[in-house]
Amino acid sequence: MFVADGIIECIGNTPLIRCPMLRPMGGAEIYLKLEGFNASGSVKARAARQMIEAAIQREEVTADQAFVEPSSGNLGLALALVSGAKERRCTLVVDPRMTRYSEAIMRAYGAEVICVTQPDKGGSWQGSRLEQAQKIVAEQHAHMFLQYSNPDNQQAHYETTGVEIIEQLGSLPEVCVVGVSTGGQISGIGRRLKENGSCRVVAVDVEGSSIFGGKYSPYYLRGLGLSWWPGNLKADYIDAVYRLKEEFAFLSAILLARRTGILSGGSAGAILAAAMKEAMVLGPEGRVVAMVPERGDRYLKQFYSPEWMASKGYRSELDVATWLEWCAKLEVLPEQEWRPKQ
Amino acid sequence: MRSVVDSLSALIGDTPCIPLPPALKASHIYLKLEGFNPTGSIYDRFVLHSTLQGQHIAIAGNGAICASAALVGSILQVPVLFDPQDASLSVNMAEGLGAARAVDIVQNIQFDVAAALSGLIDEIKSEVPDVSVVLIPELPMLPIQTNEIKDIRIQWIPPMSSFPPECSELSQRGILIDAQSAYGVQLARAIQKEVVVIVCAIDGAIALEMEEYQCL
Repeated sequence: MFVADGIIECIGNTPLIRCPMLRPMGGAEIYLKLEGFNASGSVKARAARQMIEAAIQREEVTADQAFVEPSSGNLGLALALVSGAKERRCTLVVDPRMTRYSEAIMRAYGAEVICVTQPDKGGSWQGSRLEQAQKIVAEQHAHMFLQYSNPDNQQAHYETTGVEIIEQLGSLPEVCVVGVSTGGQISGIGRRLKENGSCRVVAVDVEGSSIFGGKYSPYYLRGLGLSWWPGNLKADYIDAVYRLKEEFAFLSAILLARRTGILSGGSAGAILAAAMKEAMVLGPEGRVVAMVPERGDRYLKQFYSPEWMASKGYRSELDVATWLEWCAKLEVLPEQEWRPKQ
Repeated sequence: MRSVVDSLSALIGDTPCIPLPPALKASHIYLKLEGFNPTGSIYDRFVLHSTLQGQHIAIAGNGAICASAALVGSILQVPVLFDPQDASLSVNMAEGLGAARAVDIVQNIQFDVAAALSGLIDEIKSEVPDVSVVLIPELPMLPIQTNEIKDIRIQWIPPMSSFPPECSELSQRGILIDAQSAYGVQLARAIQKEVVVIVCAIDGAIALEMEEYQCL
């Protein structure tokens, strides 16, 4: 595959894999969009590229202006890569949950890494990272992207991910299942799919997150959930929401790895379980597309470790029959509990 | 646009080949990014050219080949047994994919390395038609006595004891590869008037976990 323009062009056009080994009896075909094949290893590469390139094109940043973002996850890694490729300075504000592995990658890309030490009053780290990043913006005249509300985040998925799904399948899927945190993916993909016809767009969240209601409580699973409703999350493009326990998400990801060779993060496990429920309900004529947001190598010493799972009181694996039973029992959240009132 | 595939084996190979960033001022050098294979290394290609004797896979040794063997075990749904001597990321990856530890391993999977490298060179020739030299890191299992494949000259990149500056020159431009492959840039710069492709054998993020490659 010759990529003339370099590493930036290794973002997008990710594989779509049909998984007959995951198809429920009498159920729909499941397709997995493997975003771990993006440069930097996750779906966030799309948003990082769009936010940076759009800001440069619209002249919202000067040539010598540094970038800053409160992110200790995949967006931080992706911003570090794209900033490096464009030879721009980048500062990432992280929190202690970040692994040394991720920190090493960020620094290898040339990013400065600053770690906050206290969570915000609600017990979440997002607030304290944001506050520190805002200080850097003020003191150093840096440019912050704010993925939670930056429209270029969802625009990336409207222009690329949603288009790819339709073109790769040859037509609209009946169902598309997407994990939710900033809302960029589901809003961008959902808008593109629904513009092209009838498609059920399903959101997946994790217990402990309060995006769709309830009280926030800390959890280990990365990449899903928040303690607030982010600006990029557009309810108009969501038809249903599942909220799963993180143990179930982790066990689903482990099963995915063992059954298909696809090593992914815990969020993919949650998304897969919800996709399986949707496939069971949809029937044999339908197609369910599920987003697999990232590669799993950064979690090998976390939930892929039986010792780590045991330390949290979680099982380390689940047999397929039990997993299917758990999937079948999943229920969507009552709409009146999560859909914002008009 | 990529077509829909039915197995992860279809995603082995056909990895990106990119020019060296212009800022590094060597327009005759290209990088073949084998880190984009499913387990992040060139060894995934070997499993496409392998022969298995038995109903399970037994793989000797450590390193990236174990992760690749575990990958094929997951794809074929056969058990994978190995006896690693360390706790590297590749070992963790193999276990994450379901490989189980065992003792007294007698390897029962044979890899046709020549066929795997031949396929790699075919890809490179189609991507960079003017290529005349391909640099490949000297890694376990690779035939370092070979100096030509399909009319292309092969030059082996030896391991080094110090960390080459090319590693951070590339990583700070968004290209994270293993240090040995990055050293290939130094060697390629010395090759004048020929088009060179460097095979970047291992994903840099995975190589970062190995003690001898520290980018901090």
